Amino acid sequence: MDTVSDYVVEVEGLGRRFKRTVALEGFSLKIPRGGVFGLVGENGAGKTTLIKHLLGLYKAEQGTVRVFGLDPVQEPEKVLGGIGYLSEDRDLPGWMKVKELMRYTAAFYPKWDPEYAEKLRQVFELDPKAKLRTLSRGQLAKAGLLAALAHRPDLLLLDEPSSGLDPVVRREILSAIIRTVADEGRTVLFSSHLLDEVERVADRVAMIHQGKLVLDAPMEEIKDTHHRMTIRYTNGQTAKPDFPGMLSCQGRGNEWTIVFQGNVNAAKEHLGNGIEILQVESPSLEEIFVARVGRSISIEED
Amino acid sequence: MFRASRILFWELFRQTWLVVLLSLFILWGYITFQFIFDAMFYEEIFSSTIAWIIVFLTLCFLFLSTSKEGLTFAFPRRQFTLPVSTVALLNVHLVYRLFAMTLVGGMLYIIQYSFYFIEYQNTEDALSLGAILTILLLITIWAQAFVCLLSVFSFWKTVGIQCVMLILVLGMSDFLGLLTGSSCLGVLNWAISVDPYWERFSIVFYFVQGILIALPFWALAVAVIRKTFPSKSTNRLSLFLLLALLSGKLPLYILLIPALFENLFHKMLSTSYSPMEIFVWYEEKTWGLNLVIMTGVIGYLGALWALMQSRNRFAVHRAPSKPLFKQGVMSSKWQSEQWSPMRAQFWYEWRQTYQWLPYIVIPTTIVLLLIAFVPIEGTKDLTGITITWIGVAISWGVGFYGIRASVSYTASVFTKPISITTMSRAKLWAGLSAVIPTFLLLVLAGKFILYRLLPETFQETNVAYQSILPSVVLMFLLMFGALYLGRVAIVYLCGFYCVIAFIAMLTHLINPFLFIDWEATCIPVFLIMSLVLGIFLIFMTWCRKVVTSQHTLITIGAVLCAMLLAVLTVYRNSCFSEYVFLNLFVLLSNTFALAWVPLMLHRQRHR
Repeated sequence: MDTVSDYVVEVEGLGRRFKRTVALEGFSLKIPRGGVFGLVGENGAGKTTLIKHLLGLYKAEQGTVRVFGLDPVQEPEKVLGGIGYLSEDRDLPGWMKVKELMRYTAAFYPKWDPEYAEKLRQVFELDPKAKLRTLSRGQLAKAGLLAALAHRPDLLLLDEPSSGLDPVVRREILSAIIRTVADEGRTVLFSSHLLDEVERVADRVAMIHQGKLVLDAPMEEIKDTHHRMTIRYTNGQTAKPDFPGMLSCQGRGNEWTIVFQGNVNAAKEHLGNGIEILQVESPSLEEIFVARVGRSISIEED
Repeated sequence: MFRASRILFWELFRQTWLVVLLSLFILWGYITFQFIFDAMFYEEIFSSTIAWIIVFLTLCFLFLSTSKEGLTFAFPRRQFTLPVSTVALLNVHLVYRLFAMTLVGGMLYIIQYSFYFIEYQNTEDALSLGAILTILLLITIWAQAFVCLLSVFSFWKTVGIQCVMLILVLGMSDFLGLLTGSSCLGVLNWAISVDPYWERFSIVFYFVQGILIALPFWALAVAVIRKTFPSKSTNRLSLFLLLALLSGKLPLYILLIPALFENLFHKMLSTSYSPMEIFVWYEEKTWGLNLVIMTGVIGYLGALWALMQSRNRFAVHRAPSKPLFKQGVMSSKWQSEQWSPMRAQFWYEWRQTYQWLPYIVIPTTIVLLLIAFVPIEGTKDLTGITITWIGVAISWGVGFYGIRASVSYTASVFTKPISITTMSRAKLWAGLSAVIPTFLLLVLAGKFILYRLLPETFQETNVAYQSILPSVVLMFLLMFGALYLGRVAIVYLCGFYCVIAFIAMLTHLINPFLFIDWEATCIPVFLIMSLVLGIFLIFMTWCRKVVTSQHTLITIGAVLCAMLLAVLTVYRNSCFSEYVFLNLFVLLSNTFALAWVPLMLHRQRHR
């Protein structure tokens, strides 16, 4: 791929509406070359809409989308030639056999590696003579993954790849493949509801909420800057604590568990005297996500 | 359950009311058209065939439903989880479709009646309302069975099962008994002429042979019922089938009882109960009733059985089915050869959609042609029916697979690094590969059928052939348009016919004396409109960079050809050439699709 950009994906001020529903609004994101990029968000947050914009399946109503420095709508052949895509719907033609799918897909990609494809087929235990409509949802995901991977794409777009896969396959195969692709210097962008999986695999995470980017940072930075702190009031106070950077707060009476972004010492200062810190831990990605999204919802409800 | 059934009925109505209404409207327009233009340029065959094709296309659309994959003929499986019994589920679907087809059938009757009235001032030869409804409703029941079977089995297995159902029908409806009777009739006549004793024997023969031949088929049907249906309903179904089997034969037995009585008491038979007369009467009058009852019963039971199978197997994955057609042309070299994107896409298009048209239409047409050439009395009627059935087969094929040929693909296709131009080209070649052999066969079929209808002189056949050639050419347009454009074709073709009808009506209103030459006036107008549309499409596709210079040249060439033909049409001097030119023009104007499809593909890909 002859590109000069440092970023594989550059999205600037992207906006998209479906009638009255706002799918994306002022969305900006840059994904650097190499590594695994996790995209998380609740249902209808705009993850699939973003991925479809990257594929050129949606035309940007506002803003710009660049993949490999190119507009995917203006130059779909060049852009799609470097992308491997697994759709959320697993919309492969049911009448096709596995071997036919391999042959058909191979025709479009000059870099298709037949040996690698065959290896993947064996790892995934797919019968080459089986028609796609006879496969289970998990097997269909594997077939789609095979088609997306075997031409060694520069950018692998996986829309809910874990859906339908059993835990063994998810942990041992999918994660291994994603890491292998990233280790080869290529880029993986995958969306998932399974945040423990994103936490385990992704190098960088973006959180989308109601069409807006609420967080975009490397995983290590997220883990370093987010904390879960359990406190107890020693002065008889029972009011819900509040300070800048606090994302969520749960508890009652004089004992509260707070998830916040920022420095622990700064948080202590804000809370003042009269508190006892029982525990400070690094929260899971899921806790961070729930804290951030839950906070937005509660604010809107107010 | 009643409430659930009512909601299902409402859902069916919401899905298909527009199709039924549109169909009734088109048929009504058809009647009006005949009255206005006095059916001047319609041959009898052409007229009835077109009307029947419209009716059968309506039937096809009535069975369409939405699914995750889009429009489909398969029974909607999501309804299996509703708290409705399978019988009620089937009944709701069937009753709604029977009701809709009754309306359409009624309109068809009015068409036929008015046609015979205008053309011959004699309506005796027109099919009665009862006959039309019987035919349509029985076909509806069997189409329902086909759709239900298709939800469980592959296409060819479904066809096979329906063939078995047909054998059961023919067996139980005494068809085979009639054949035996017919073949023995000559021998018996000879025997009776030698010795009247043989007449007694013939009475017993007719009485027994029908039952004897029908019973094994009944037993087979009962065996299938016992194996598949719940034990509670087995006896009732078997009894019901037995009553249905006997009901058609009942008049025969009533007539035979006095004869048998006389026979048992060794008296000579009276002439009024001659077995030969009874046999002829039975053959002419009551066998049809028997056949109708059995067809309805077996069709319904087949649908019910398939639906029960489908519902019970809902959670089970179907075993991998064998390929429908062995790909004999795929040599090992071909297998290992690397495809180009164009070839891969061609293969995809062919396998996805287009292969079905020749696979369905060609064998069906050949079989029907063979039937039409069976040397029996009433050949012309049989040939006419054959033409209708060819129309049905084609409309079924085009309707079934044409609706799947969409310019809208799933993401798995649109995310392939292939240009819209290559995609359109692959679609075009795949469409032509399917349509051309089918079309050629239809041209030949038209020729043979006319020869069969008009065997008097070869020249007469040729002249008549010229008169139906436009409809054959029009068929090409419909096939190609529907298959190439997919769902867009509905809008395209509807728009086209609306324009023609509108201009014809307008011309007639302005000057009633011009109505015979309506096409001379409306074609240039339509041409201008087509030209504007074509130029607009070319402009749009050119601007969006989704069309090559080849496409542009072909489209512009087609427009010029159409103009030339239209001019020639206006200054025609031959009786039949006008229709040839008209339809050639229509055909050529269809090449606008060359510009239309890339544009639609571009719009679908980048929404």
